[in-house]
Amino acid sequence: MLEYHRPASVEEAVGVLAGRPGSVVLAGGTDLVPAYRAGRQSVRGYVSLRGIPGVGELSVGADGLVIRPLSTHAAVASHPEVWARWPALAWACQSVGSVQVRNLGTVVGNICHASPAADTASALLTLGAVVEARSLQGTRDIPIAEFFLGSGRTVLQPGEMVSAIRVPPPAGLGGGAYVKISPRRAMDIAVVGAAVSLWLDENGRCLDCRVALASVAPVPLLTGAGAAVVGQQLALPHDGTWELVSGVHDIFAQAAQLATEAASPISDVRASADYRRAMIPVAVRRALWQALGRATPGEWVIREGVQA
Amino acid sequence: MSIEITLTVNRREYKVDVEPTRTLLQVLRDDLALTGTKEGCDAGDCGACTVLWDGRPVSSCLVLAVEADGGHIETVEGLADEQGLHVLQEAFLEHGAAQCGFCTPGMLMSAKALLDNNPHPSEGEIRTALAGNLCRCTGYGKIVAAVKHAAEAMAASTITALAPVATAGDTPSERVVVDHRGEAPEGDGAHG
Amino acid sequence: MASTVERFGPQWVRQDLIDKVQGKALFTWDVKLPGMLHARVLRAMVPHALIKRIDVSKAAKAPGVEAVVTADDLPDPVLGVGVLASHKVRYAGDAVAAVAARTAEQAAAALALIEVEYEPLPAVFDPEEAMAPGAPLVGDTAAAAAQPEGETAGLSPNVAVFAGIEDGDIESAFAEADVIVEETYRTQMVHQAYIEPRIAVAQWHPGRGYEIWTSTQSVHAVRADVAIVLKEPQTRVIVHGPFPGGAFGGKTGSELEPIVCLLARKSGRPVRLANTREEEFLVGNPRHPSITYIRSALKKDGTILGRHVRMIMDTGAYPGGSAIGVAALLSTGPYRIGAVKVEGYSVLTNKSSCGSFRGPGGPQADFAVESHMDSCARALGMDPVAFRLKNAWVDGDRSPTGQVMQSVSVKECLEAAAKAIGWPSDPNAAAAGSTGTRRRGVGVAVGWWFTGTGASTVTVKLNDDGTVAVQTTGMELGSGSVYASLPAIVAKELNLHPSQVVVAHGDTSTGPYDVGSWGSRITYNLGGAARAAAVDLAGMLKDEAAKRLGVSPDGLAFGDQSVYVQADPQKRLGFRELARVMYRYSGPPVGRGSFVYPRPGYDRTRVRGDASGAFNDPAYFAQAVEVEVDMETGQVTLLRAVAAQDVGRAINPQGIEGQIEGGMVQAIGQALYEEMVWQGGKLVNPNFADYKLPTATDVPAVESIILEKPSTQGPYGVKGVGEPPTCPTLAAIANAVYQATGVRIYETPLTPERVFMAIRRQNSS
Repeated sequence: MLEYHRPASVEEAVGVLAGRPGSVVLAGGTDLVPAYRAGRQSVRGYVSLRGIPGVGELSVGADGLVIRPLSTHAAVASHPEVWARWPALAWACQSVGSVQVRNLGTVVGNICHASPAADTASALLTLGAVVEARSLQGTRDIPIAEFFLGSGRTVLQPGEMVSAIRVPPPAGLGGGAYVKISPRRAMDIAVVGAAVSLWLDENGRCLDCRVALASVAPVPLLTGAGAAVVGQQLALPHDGTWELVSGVHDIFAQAAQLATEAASPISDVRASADYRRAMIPVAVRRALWQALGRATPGEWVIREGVQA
Repeated sequence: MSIEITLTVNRREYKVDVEPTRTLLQVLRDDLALTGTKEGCDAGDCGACTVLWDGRPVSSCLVLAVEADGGHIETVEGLADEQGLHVLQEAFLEHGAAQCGFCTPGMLMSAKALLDNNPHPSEGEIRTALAGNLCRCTGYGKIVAAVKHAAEAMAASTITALAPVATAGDTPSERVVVDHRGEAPEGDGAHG
Repeated sequence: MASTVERFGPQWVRQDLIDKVQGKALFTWDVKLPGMLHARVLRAMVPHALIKRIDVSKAAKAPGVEAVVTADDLPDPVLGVGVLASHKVRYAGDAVAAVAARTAEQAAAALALIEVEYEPLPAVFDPEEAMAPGAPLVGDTAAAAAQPEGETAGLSPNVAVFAGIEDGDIESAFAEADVIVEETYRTQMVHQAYIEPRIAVAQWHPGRGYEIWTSTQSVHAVRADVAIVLKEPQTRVIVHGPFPGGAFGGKTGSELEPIVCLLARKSGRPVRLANTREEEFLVGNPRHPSITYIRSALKKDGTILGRHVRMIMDTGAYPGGSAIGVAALLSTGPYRIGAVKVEGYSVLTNKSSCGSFRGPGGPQADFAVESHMDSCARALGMDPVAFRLKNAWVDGDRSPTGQVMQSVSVKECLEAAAKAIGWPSDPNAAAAGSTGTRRRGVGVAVGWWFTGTGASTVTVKLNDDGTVAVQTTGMELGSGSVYASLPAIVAKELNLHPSQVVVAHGDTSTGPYDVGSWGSRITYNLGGAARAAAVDLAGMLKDEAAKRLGVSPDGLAFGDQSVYVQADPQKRLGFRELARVMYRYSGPPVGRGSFVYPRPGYDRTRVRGDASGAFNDPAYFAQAVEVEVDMETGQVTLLRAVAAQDVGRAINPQGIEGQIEGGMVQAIGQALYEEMVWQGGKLVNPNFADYKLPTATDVPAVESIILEKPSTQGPYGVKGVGEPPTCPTLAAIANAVYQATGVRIYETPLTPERVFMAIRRQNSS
């Protein structure tokens, strides 16, 4: 008989997980409930999070963003501060499924499900998020780049659950984007997803840039492609707006190339490896341009001869 | 292991004993005989089972009933009252926005959630709000027109401008963000 | 001919919709009987195998289980072919056994306890491989052993159907051609994907027979099937048809019904059997995939000297519907062509059994011929619209089978659609000028389609209060053809408001016969029957009134729920009074009607095998679209979609728009997104996550243009409406993609990947 636990705290929850092996944390349920019902997943008991006070809250402060276990995609995608400071994450959350699914599904659930196609995972990778895991043994911090082991597999140990995801504050004038290539505009899974977060200094030089990909490797993939952009002059302040400098096109093309080289896509029912490989540079380039645009608000000044 | 839960459905409180495997959809249909909410896929992919949970549209086939304990649920049966049909229902009739009728309850609930939070949606916002509700009959055009018409009718009516029931609107369930600025001059991301 | 010249009747809200917007309409999904059990079906996981042994003993003893059935429970396994497999499974999905238990979960758990021993057989999945002599035989061994003769001699017995048409000297046509265009087109397997999966509930009444509630397009077809498979007289099978939650050709016959009846009988309890969405994809009757080899002999001036089509349809595990017969006649298009040769094959493979999906054969044939028409025009340097207009039929032209075409409106539809989309004055120059990452193009395609035939009967009875009831078993699938058109027609004949006419929907034991809601036939046939029944009742009412008013019936008319003397309108008898006296004294005020008409003639010498000889009162139509193609991703975005359709006479314009818009969006789904993907005999995407229906964000509002050119025989001139909108869309979109990119796509769906790869190939060559 399936058990249902509704602990009143995270401490209590990890106690159940430890004491009842085979129990699973039930967050939004968008993956787990249908998988169990269709017989694809065996479950001894559900550990509900809904009795834990504040478990769905988002905290936004000077030290960054804290996503809790029941923070839904909709909650993240309706928070103005997230749009302003961590746009890659906001766009990724907005691209998930449908309204009905975004109102249930959680960011923590999305990364714990560990699909290579997880929209939010690549965004969190670009943001240097830290996953906080709790168990009876205590709390440990896992950099998100070390969280995924393979399709459906993470470093979480039995008895351990994610109690928060912490996203550090922006490291400068920030821009970010998530570009999802999929046949439909909604209700779809990424054929290729590209997340970009970049930060500029006030003179338009790139302080940091990270590029991550969905659906092109066994895990959501943080590439080294940002290296092509870091340190580069991407724009110049110009009378309260920004002037695009020449060469950005080539810089972005180089980053797109690096990202493509980092990927190891496979063929499946959604696309061939060949198509995925061809789409990586397109998605990365588009995400970089969008991110740059968001980091440099206002109408760009583009001089003659500068290729955009 | 059966658990007693309390659900407020269409403003009426119910106490139900449920097994933890049962979905909110099953409890609404089988235990409460509210069969207006439909099942089309049992996987969260079609939207036929859409109900409002504390004002937000959700796929009730993805929600275990025990999870909704204490929640306020709105279903299609709660749309009409003694005064008559809801403005959205009237608009669906006028525009011929239903054909076979199987997706219609879920479609109406998604539309209601949209209008509760955004009384003046654009066509794009309507289509985004309904993207999780598959309809195989209408091609969506008449549904979108009906929702637009209902929004106009509600705006014109003082009665319907009153706050919606339950906790709808305490946080916007969905914010449609229009951000054209960040696009590369040659074209923007696939679906940004 | 014009767009909605005169309204047929008032716009009003039909009764089923009032229930549907409140969630109160009854669907089979909502049927719940006291003590009802829940059933699940065990389905083969192997594509082709002999069944050596089935052991259900463990399942029968499992918790909650009340009955288990296999083919052994059928009165005759041969009659049960395709219902429950007896000695062989033909695809991974064939039903092998079924369990009824107190809960669906218990039934599912019991399935795992059924032991089936298979002896695998070689399987074949490609229809062209299956056609070749020596291919593994999909059919039953005995039947399959007979070697084909005649047109299919030398081919495998897997060729289930041949459909050929020959008109004129095809060899000479190609010998005389200035230009020959030769192409190959392919379409994919797509599913009706109605939102309510198929479901049936059955109850066994000992000594009286079966009572069934089912999501169906025809209660009478289900009754007939069940009676045959279970060897019962039709007096012992009653079928109720609650509203089906979508059908589109997928609910035409019986599939679950015989199984659920067996379980109900064996358990002695009512049983509910519903497909899961995964089963729905696996065991439906999707649209046949097709391969079309098409070539045309052309003169420089745009004359079509000849057209040769060889078309192969993959029908899957069982022969299913006859899409190839219709496709054969459609495959050369509604054009004057000197000589025609068509060879069509429907071939068995070890996959889901294909059948009728809204316009069966239409999208396949129209995609090939209407894409090909564009290629022909481009090869000749002609405007694709002008090329079509030059060759399109007009009244009096003959089809390839010799049918004399009447009430033809191809040109009018094409002109209307092309005008609405803003067809460029020089499309070839417009295509050449398209540059950049996002390119736009427009495309058109035309088509023709028959109005389905078959028996319909209706009774119209006067109620005590002077209102009227239409009694029917016609299934309302959502178009309004039953709940809107029938009241409108009866109201017209009796000069009532349609809201004064109620639809009384009956079951097979109480309602008048109707063959089924398919083939774009309801308003034509059932509407014709309703008109005849209303006229019958009108005659009775006038006769009775004439007698009582002492006048001749000729001078009487209807108005305000009464019969009155036209020359002296004060002289009248109310319907209420007439009902009172007629029920009591002079016979019931009940009109009966059926709709009978002659079938169109054609030249039988031109037709081989199962090819359609003639199309009854065909409808004509054209669609035009504007697309934007993302050259870097291959993504095709539909910016506008226009459909111009000749409906003959628009009884219910809003319902017709609904049919056009919904039908075209289904076809947009086939054109851009949907495909049932098979790998090694396994369907790998049986869910709405990976079988991608268009969402509200993926399609524009379809702009429908209704044209009216009356049919020769339909009531008030109506023509069939429901299926045509699915036919031309694939080609219209592919033609627009060509216009935008200069790249011809020969296969549906036009997924981003397929379009991208085609662009890349073209760029590198």
